[in-house]
Amino acid sequence: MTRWWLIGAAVLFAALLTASIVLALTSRETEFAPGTPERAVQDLLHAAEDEDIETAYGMLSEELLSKCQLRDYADRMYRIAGDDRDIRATLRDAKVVDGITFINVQVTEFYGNGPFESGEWSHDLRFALRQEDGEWKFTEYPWPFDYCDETEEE
Amino acid sequence: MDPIFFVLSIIGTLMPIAIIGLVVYGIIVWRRRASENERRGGTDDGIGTVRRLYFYVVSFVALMMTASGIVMLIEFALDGIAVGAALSISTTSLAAGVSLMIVGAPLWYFHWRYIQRAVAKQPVETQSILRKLYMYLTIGVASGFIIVTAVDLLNWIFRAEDFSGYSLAAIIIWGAVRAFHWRIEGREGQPTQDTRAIRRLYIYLASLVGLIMLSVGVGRVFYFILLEGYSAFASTPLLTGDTGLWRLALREMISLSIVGGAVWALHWLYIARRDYDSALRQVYLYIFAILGGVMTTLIALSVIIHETLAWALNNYYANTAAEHFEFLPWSVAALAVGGALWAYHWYKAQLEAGMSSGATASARRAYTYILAAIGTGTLAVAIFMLVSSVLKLILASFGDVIVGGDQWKSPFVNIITLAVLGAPLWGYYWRNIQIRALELGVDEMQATSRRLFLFAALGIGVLALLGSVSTLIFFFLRDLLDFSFSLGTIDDMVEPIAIIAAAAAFLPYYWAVYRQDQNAASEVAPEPASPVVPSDAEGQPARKHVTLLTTDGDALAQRIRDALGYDFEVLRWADADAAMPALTDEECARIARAIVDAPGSRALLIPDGETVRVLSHD
Repeated sequence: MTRWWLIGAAVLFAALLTASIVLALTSRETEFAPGTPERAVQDLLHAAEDEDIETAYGMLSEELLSKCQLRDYADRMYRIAGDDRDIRATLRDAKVVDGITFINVQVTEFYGNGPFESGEWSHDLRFALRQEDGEWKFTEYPWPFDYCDETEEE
Repeated sequence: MDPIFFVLSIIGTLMPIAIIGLVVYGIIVWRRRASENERRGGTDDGIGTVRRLYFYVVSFVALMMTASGIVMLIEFALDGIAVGAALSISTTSLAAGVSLMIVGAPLWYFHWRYIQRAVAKQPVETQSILRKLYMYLTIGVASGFIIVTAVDLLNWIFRAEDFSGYSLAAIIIWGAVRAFHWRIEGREGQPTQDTRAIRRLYIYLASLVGLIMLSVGVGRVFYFILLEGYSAFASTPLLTGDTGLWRLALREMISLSIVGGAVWALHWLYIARRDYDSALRQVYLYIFAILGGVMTTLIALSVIIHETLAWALNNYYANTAAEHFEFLPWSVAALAVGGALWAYHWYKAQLEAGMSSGATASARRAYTYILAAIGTGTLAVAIFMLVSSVLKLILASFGDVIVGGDQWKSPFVNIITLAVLGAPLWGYYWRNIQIRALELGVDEMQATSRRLFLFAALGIGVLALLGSVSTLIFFFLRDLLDFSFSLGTIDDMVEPIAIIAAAAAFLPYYWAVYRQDQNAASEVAPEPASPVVPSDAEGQPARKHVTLLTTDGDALAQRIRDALGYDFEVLRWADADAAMPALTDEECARIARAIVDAPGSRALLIPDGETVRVLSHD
């Protein structure tokens, strides 16, 4: 009796794994329509993955660009470069408040170094965007380039 | 704090205490055996303890220096080949490697040569605990390096890491160190119980390390696969990582699983395959593998039940059901790994139950009492939460609820989860414990595990009861004397009342069980142990011609005679590797029973590892 329960559970689990593999191999990242705030966040995350600081810098709002030079912003990239992280991001929701669109995203970072050190860290992030000249721009420094040693006013 | 995590934190606190307890137990057993050996007349001192200590410590340090130095040299060469030009690599590691080798190699060679000559001249040296400690510490350290670097090497093969000359160099050199010492150790064997115990400590620790690596690795591989499937099915992926399913983290976990599986298979499936009569094996099997599997399964089940109930009652904070059920990939993966660990090791334990001696019974007993304790704790927390929630609901009904009228849902979900897990756990294991106590009588009732369990339950229950009653009286008197007795006073009293209810549910029952055990023990007259030999129809004992092969004078023979009830012949065992086990009274009684039950009219008793084998003939 117990044996059949175990065999049944093993078969069920194997079916679940097979279905997951099929789903994972056939699915792709969601392609958001160009000109949407979700697409802007996706483009920024791709830029972060490629360590493309110039693209990320070009997505900042006019207000942030006026306060932060590219060389100062790039300093952030050097600080996070070398973090051999494996990242997955999923869209939670989008809300509009007073002309600012907030995109909530869950980011899971998988990391590991050595036989007994492997884990993950999930955290929710909020990206704030506003349309400027028909393009979606970040009104707050977006993760992971979320800091700039802002240029002091002369 | 969430009660489930409260229960888990208690378990987490108990684990280090259990490990310390095991270490203390090991030291006590070792000292008891040492004093028993001294009582038997002592052994040849060999080269002497102080000299032995010096030579093995220096050999160990010199060997570590030499091996590390050679690893650095090979690493320098391999990195040079991989990078393309040796000049581009720092020569610091080359200098460090050469200096370590120049100092370490001759030092190790001359000390090791002295040791091996001493062993050849005085074979009693192979019985030295220090020598075996040196051997297995060296083998253990080498195995540790091999494990870490094998994972790195596989990560490189799977393109999860860059090539490192260190990994390849370390695996070659530490592999050679391990093979060299393992070969010598295998040839000379383990002539005494203490030396066998050191070997077993290494084998079962290595098995445990391999099992943990395999479980973690396979569990996370399952998790990544299920996570990808769940995400594809239920969420909106913005970024799926560089290579989808074949992600970096998955490749690292495959490396971990392969190395862990190899370590576990080598030590558990191959080296320890016939080592049935070992206490350490039973500790590994019941306390770590089976209990580990049970705990993993229970934790995964508790999360699945809790979160499903929360969803059914609409008591969750996620924006969507898909977001709420994101726990499923890891909990299902943990359930699968925990269940597999539990099922495999339980199957092994059942297979081996008939092949090993008292150690199995002790380990199995400890395992059942630990699970009964977890069941008791889980049910006690459920009762506490039930009483406090009901009282708070009654108190809330006296006022007007402005917001949060469904606050009962969260404790209700916790109570159901704890009850659904705790009740069958406690019911099943406690029933087994009581049936066993009835079958085996006073011996089982006075077993250390049972006494520890009962005293811990009574102690914790009494302390909780006393603390709660005094707090209750304090709140009552405080507001009575201030003439401010109100609903607020009763609100303050809710938690002490709930603790009293939880204690009251178990305390009288365990007290009754304790009294029952005491009465049963006092009813048994304190007479000397009677022989187990049965009588024939005329009341005469059915004697057999028994012969015992022994090295330790007449001590063991006398104890078996006492258990058997009649005299028998003793033969002196003259071989160099002759060793006698240290047997408990229960084991002597078991041997006597085996002689009685044996089909032949004559019995031959042969020491074999930690027990004495009974062979019969006509």
